[in-house]
Amino acid sequence: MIGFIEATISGILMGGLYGFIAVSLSLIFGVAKIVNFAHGALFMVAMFLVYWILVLLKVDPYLSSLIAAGFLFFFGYFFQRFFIEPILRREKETAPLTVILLTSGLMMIIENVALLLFGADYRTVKTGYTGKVWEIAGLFIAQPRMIGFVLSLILILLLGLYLRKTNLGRAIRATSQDREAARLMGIDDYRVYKITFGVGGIMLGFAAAFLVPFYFVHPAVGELFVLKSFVIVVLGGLGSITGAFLAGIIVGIIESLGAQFINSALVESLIFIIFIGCLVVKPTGLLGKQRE
Amino acid sequence: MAFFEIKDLQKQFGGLVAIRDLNMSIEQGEIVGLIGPNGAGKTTLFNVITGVYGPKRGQILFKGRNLAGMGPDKICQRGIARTFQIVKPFHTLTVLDNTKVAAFCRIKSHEKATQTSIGILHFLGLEDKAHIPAEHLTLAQKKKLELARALATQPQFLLLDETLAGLNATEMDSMIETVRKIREQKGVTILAVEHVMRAVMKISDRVVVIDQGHKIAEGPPEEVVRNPEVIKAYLGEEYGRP
Amino acid sequence: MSWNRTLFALAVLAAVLFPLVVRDPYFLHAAITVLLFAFLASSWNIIGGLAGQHSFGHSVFLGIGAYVSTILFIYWNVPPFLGMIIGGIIAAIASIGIGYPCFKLRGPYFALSTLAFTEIFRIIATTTEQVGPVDLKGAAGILISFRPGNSFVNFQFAEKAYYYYIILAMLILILFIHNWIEKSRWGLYLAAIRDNEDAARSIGINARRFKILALMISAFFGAMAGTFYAQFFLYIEPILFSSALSIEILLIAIVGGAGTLMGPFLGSLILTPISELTRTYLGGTYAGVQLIIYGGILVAVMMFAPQGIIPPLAKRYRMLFERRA
Repeated sequence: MIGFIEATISGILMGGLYGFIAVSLSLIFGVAKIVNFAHGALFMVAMFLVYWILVLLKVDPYLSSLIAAGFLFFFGYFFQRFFIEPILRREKETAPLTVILLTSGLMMIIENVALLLFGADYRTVKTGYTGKVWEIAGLFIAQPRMIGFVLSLILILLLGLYLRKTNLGRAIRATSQDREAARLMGIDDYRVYKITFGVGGIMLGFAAAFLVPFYFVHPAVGELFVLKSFVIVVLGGLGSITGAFLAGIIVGIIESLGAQFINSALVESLIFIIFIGCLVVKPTGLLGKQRE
Repeated sequence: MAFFEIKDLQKQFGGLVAIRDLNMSIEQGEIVGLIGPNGAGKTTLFNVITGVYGPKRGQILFKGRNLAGMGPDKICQRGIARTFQIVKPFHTLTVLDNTKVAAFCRIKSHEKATQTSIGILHFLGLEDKAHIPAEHLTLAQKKKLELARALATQPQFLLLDETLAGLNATEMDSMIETVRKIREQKGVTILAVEHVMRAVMKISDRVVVIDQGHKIAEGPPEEVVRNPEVIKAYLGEEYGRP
Repeated sequence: MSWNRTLFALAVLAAVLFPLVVRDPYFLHAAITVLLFAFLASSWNIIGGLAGQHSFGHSVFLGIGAYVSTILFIYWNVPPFLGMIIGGIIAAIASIGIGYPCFKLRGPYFALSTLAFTEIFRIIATTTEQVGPVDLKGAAGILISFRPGNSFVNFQFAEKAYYYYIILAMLILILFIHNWIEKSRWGLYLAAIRDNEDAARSIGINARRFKILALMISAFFGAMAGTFYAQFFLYIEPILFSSALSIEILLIAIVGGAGTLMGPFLGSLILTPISELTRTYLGGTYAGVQLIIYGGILVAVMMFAPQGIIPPLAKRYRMLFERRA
């Protein structure tokens, strides 16, 4: 029973982190309507950045998260600028196929460059709290996961404020709801896309810092997160940040509890099956807004 | 039994009520104009009639059969065709093939379908464009192609969604004549959404006015246009006084 | 029109004579691989090109075909040629289950759902070992024992030329089917669905039915390719179900020009040798480089020629590579 509860808690915490990563994807998918398969690869870049800063400069991930976030902002911004924007400008209605293939290709390049540079070893780190737990009411809770979860939550709340209160945030929301109307109101939608990618990058930078203390670092680590993130985004409902976060938690719980009963790899396939079921029954997701 | 009748139709999107307690009936052979301010629900109504959406409540009776909830393809097979406000041609196909594929709704053989399609293209003045890919047509020609496609399914009831939008004055007159010809020569009953008032006046036997998803007036065009409720709906409160 | 046919006949003749002229088994192997991927891409082309539904799940059918015929062969001695047909039928039936949910979706959601299916199948294949009397061997994959000599019954040939002619025949078959569909009433329906599904439905086309029918055909032939793959490479593994392979197949069709008849073949002619060469010369030490190059091709094509190579060429040589009318 205890194990059950602990698994649930662990699932919630991990799910919160999944949700956080998914929110970064949701922004990009929701605003720019881009299926970015390189999202996981960008995350991997952030993870390696945090890793090397820790290993070489002995700087704690939670501190270097700011550096990672900053770096990823520019990485994301220019990613959009150089690869995706030209395509968007060229076609009136970009086929999802084109962007999917483009970002898949970019993912392959980024991942394999990392593979060549860093090798295929699975790296882990030891920080002051790696592997440590807190004991609360007789339950053991992993410290890095808890910290990561709480920080993610805070950042998401900040993101929500940013989107609601600042001009740029409002511009982002407007563009995601109606690109044409936003343009007519004088919003430069291409700039919004770049900024959104940048913001997504910032979130990935933080997420990487939250995960490095307890997850492994490897050139292909992004692949584990990409498809799952899309599943979460869709399950949570496009356009809803709360939805993505909640869906992430749900997926985390399913993963964690499911692994108690069946092979953890099979749990992944269960998640995909639920995904397809959800798409068929309620394509707008849990909290999504019905569009078009 | 009315030719086409809508009873107590209700359609909402989440919390937004797009069509509210709508009742309407149309006699065979009529040309009915459907007007109303922007956002009144005209295209939504078309989408519900043609099966793109299902209604929350109400009936759509066509020759006695309730069509509510049927898919667009079944409704077309029952004899209702439509054009789209934003033209949707099959851009990689030629004008002839665009029409043929619609003709296949009723005709199975290639030769007959080609024949019928050429006939329709001729009727609409597009026959010299038959082998040109649809994407190379002008807007006016594309609008005629929409008509050609709809006519090729041999409908008894035709819904036209702002066929005149985006056309210049000459093209408009040509289109108005064409719509009239369709009723005269093909015996098709027509329900047309239109914003261009002079066209509505010229062509409609009767006009139905919708505002906020609800019918607020109907009658001969000259009457409806002077109806204070109608004027209020379009222009706002102050202008409603007679 | 007769230009078309003459050219095609010449191409077929050249293809038929090829193994008689080029006897080096390495080149034959490469040619067979080119034809195999041309066949695969052509099978995708039915649902992806003609019907315009860019499915990312084609590898599922390949995998089903490979596993079904292999298992039938190893456990029940079913000749692989028969197993090919059975695999095709099973794949076609499975495609109904896949198409039904996925075709309710459009655009990126459709793509994601087909990808989700590849993952589901891949994971199940990787984690499943014993199912009743059958050992699927999970991630280890299944080896088909090598039998010397040339045998049609066993679908194994010591001389590559046999494989070559079989895959060539398969390719010609599917090209004929593609052409027949395209010129038929059905082909117009698929083109209409491709160009504008809403408009297609409004003129009486039951889009769902035709999309699923097209998918079934794609699935059947995709599975056939799976059997060929199994019998040619003599080793199958869950990776066959992966999205990476789906993307590879897709890319070949796209680069050549989705929807065109010869697009997939030309795409394969260009891409497969590149893939093979990089694998041979860079595979070992620099395995990653092959994928970097591949990724680079993807990016380059999408940024500069997303319509593929054929359509721009086609505008100049309209006679040769017409899509329709």
